[in-house]
Amino acid sequence: MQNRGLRHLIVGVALCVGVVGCSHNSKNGANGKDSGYGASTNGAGDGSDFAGSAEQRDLLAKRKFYFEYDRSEISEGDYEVVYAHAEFLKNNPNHHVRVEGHADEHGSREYNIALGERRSRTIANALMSQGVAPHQIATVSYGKEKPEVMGHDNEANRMNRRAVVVYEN
Amino acid sequence: MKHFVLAALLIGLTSSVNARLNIEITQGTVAGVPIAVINSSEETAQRRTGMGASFEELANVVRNDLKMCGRFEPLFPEQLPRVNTVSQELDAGLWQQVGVENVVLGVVKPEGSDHFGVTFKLLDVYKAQGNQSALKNGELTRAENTVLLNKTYHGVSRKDFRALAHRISDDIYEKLTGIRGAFSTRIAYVMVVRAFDGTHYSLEVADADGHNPVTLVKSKEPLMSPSWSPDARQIAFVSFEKNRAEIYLIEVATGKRRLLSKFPGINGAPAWSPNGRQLAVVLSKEGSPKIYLWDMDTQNIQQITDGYSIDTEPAWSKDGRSLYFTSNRGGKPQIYRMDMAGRKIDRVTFVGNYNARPMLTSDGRYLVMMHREEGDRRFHIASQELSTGQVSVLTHAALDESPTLSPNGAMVLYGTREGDRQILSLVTLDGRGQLRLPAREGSVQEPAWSPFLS
Repeated sequence: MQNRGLRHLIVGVALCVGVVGCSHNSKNGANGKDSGYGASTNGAGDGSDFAGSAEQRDLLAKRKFYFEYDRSEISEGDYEVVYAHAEFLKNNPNHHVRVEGHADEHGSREYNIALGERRSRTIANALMSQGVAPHQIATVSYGKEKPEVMGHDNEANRMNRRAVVVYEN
Repeated sequence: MKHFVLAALLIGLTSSVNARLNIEITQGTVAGVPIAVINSSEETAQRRTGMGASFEELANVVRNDLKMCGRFEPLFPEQLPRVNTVSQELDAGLWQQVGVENVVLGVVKPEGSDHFGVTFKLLDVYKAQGNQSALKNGELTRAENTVLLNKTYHGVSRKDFRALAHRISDDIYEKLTGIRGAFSTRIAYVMVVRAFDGTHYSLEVADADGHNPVTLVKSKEPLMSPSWSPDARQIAFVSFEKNRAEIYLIEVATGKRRLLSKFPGINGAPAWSPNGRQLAVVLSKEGSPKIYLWDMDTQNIQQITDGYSIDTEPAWSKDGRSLYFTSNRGGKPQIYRMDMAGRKIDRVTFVGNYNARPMLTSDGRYLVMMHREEGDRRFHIASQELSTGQVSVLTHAALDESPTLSPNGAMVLYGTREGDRQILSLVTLDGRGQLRLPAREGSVQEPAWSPFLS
């Protein structure tokens, strides 16, 4: 009984680590438009650590949050997603996330770093307000330095005004 | 296996391309002073004997410099009369005919086995000596050009020709404008190349004309905000190599760097004080991004702005008495000034709904900034005359940013968007001359002009 449990844990961890590695590389290489929710189940909602419904799993697969120009408020529809991540993190205190904040191309670079930080902190604060331990959350702002979409029209800018939850493990 | 080899080759190719800035003149100068920079008659005579080096090697660089500063229109040898004799050189009438106002004539003479002496004369065609066809000692003489400068540099080796040419450009510029030349300075900038294996960022330093680039830092994560120390020995910059913001100081000559700041949150916008003793930085460790002074001797850190606003992009006045910065404390980003003696803060910009990224001219008269007008989506570089509050828009593309000033205050180098990439562009403070400096490959952004190098 004990052995099976241990094997289960090892497989679970190996799966998480291995699959998170893949996710990181593809994120770096992506230059074109990406789907709104970065659908990948790496690191969370995956295998052994997850115990919930298919709906929960879908929510956890969503990692990106979008914002209005010059704003950092979470939109209504995103609360559900935030709470799903909060639940997962509370139930799995060994998991850590890095919330990355970004801005669109308008404005100066360092000012946009500050804007990006507001966005990442908004998500981080929402997670903590649901009871996630602070040590499980790191935040960083990339301002406009790492756009996901390379265009300059309204749509491209909208897709770049984002915060992304990245599971570090 | 084949794919792997091909991929490896491509990676090698991408990273070994020495991305370089190229200078392209877009808008010509409006009424740039026509100037001729050519071999003197002495040089022409020497050419015939096929000896050593030619002044033309330096003339090329000088012409480029004079073109780059936006005040001159250098003519090429093909457009100019051939000067075979000294009297031809000094003949004002000859030069006036081709519309030239100033003439630079040079010659390179060998000195020893591998050194040279470089002599140049700067002439003013219109401040001619004597009258037309005057009688002098019973001989009919023509009006002569006035010699403004006649200088010789000795013991120059070939590898120093470029540097000497920039020196000569400085000499010419200073003589003709009364302002110290900035052609012997350097620029730092961030290069971004998007390859199939991800994005490559590098911090580079090059001559002011974009030549001789040297890579100081390479990273797969963003690098930002380079800032030169007043003695030009170090550059402070922001790095995200560890997936977090950190401020580093790097020694330009050796490439050695040390970590300065890695507090939680933002570590950004480093700006050296004019006496080099303090670094203004932006930290958000206590909440909102605030401006701190980091004492470089004691390593003491002092918070100097407070409140809930975003305060960032500090920039010192040359006398060190004021610190300008971007803040949204009034609602939208505007530029504010802190008097360093009493720490009192006043708003400086009132025109436009977004003003950021302040830079001060060395004479303290003008503020150069990123500026957006009401109802316009575009950002331009603008200057504000501090005594009157008058704002002049200097650039006209869609997204102009990150202005940096030459140390003589005459030229503004900034980043601008061109299609899908960023290039550098240069405009004179009076807005007349304009140049493009695209990199041969990839994007260039966030230029920082060095101080004068002694």
